[in-house]
Amino acid sequence: MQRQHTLIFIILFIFFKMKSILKVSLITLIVIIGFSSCKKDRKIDVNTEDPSIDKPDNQEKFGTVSIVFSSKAGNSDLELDSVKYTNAHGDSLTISKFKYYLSNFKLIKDDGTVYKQEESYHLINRSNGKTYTVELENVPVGTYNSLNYLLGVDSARNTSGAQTGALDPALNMFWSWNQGYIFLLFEGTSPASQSFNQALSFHIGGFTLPYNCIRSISPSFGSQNVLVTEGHNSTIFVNTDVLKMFESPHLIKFSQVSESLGGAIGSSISDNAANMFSIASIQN
Amino acid sequence: MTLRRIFSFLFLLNILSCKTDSEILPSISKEDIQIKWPDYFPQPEYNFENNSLTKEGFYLGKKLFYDPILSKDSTISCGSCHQSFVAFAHADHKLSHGINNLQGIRNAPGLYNLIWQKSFFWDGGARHIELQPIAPIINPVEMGETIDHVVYKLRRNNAYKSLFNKAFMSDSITSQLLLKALAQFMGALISTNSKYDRYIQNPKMNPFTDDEKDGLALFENKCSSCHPAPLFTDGFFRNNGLDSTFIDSGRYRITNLPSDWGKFKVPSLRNVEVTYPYMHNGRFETLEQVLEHYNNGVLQSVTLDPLLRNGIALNNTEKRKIITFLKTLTDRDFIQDKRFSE
Repeated sequence: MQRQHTLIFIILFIFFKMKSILKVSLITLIVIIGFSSCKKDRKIDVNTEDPSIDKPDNQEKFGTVSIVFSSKAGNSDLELDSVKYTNAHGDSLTISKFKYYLSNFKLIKDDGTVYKQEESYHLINRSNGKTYTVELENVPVGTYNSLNYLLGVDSARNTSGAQTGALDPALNMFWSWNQGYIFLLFEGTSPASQSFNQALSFHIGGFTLPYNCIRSISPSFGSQNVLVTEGHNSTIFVNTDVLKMFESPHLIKFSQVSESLGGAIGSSISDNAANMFSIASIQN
Repeated sequence: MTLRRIFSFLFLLNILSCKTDSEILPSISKEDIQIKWPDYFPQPEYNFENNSLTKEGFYLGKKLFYDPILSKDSTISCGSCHQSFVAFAHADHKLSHGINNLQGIRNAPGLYNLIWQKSFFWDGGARHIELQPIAPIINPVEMGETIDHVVYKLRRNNAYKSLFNKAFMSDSITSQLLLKALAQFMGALISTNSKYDRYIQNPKMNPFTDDEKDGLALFENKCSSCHPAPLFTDGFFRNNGLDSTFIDSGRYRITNLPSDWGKFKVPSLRNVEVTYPYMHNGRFETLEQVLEHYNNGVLQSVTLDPLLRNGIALNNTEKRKIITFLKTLTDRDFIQDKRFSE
């Protein structure tokens, strides 16, 4: 705007040194310049999709990484309702609902450089499919030897006001009476359960001490690496074994524990659930 | 018209055209929705960050607040249990009433100065003003709805489509925008114009009576450690000796800490004259009963607040004067404000 006005004043100076016909042409010119410059101003104000803003530094090269989570029960694909499974203690069970939040995905290079996914919140719901894929975009090329994410939703986002997308409370993974997200929801039945209708109901959440149920997960890559090369997609396959929720380090006997809404039991189940994830394979 | 005039006109037009363009952008049209408070108030917890207060957002929030569309059978609105003429408490109701004549477990508190609150509900179970309304909407004994279905109903409603569009420049109605609109209305409910406030700001122009002055001095001496000015609450959770065993575990329900058994949030005493009945379960009808409880009714328990171990000794004159002072905390302008009432 400043520059535009300076320009106008220069033109104004020349203007009075000119003849009429020239003056009329100039007025037309000014009108055009004026309006087109305004248009430009407005574009800067409202346009958040300017491609140069989101594009990373041109000198770096990028690839993509997909992380495919498959729901398992032991070594088999997890089937809801129809299949009877056995937990580590030997209790029989069926599973009707299994869903969980993963957030804050990071890939870590061998030199310690960290790639972080922006707005990284994912609700994985077995009812919506056997697999769920997290797509990491604009990952700088290089060798990554570690993957890290949170089981749950970081405490900041639990208290940052109304959210949308994967964190929309309409998805029914939000506690209204003790507000915050349900990080991990498991429902099913077991003959060992002392609850009404032999129900199993574990709704795990809570982000305050002493029963913080958020867990940081770094499934072992073993001797493998993720090699990100320019314009290329690598895929990490992760298995999520639901039965690990009841195995270790806190062995869960359904005759004693068949439900939880966070608290001490929730915290124990979160310790166990942190062991649900294992790398099946990496495809570079 | 000389060419010089034409030039000036065009020059002006250029500038004006730019200005018009910038006004097309989302702007804060506060007009009659001014958020302000006296300088002796602290900075609020909620600053409408990521939710700019606009006239359109405020009035959308108000319409939603008074609309039973938020409940399962379209019988209960937020305003059913939060009535403007009693500072948004529920006049003469001990416990909140929901759909199908169901009854809640706690007394509906007054709604004002919410942007200074760190947490909501008697047990502090809600930690953000935008998220708080989810609880009454989905509570089976309050509105008994689902967030999903409320959004569905709003999306089918042409009036709301247009109002959400005007307020948020968005073509789609989401739970996020619903909650932000409600937060704009509720956040704008600010009560800072009681007789007490006018006295603090200019005691010569707005003097207290002798009884009010005595009451203030007594209050500062005996009540203000839990109910400090200017908000008249410290926002903490305390067991004030209503019970020795607890039907309602209070803050424990949120923290699972045994030390929180039977603790409830210290309520603000602004507008306390009109927000009866009192306490989390509405057990006291009058301020006289409340003060008599502190004088001679405090029950001992492990989590009883240390400040109340021996109760608060109050003779009848002291009680009367404290109540006289408490009535100076009533903000008539606020409870009669047409911008807020249905």
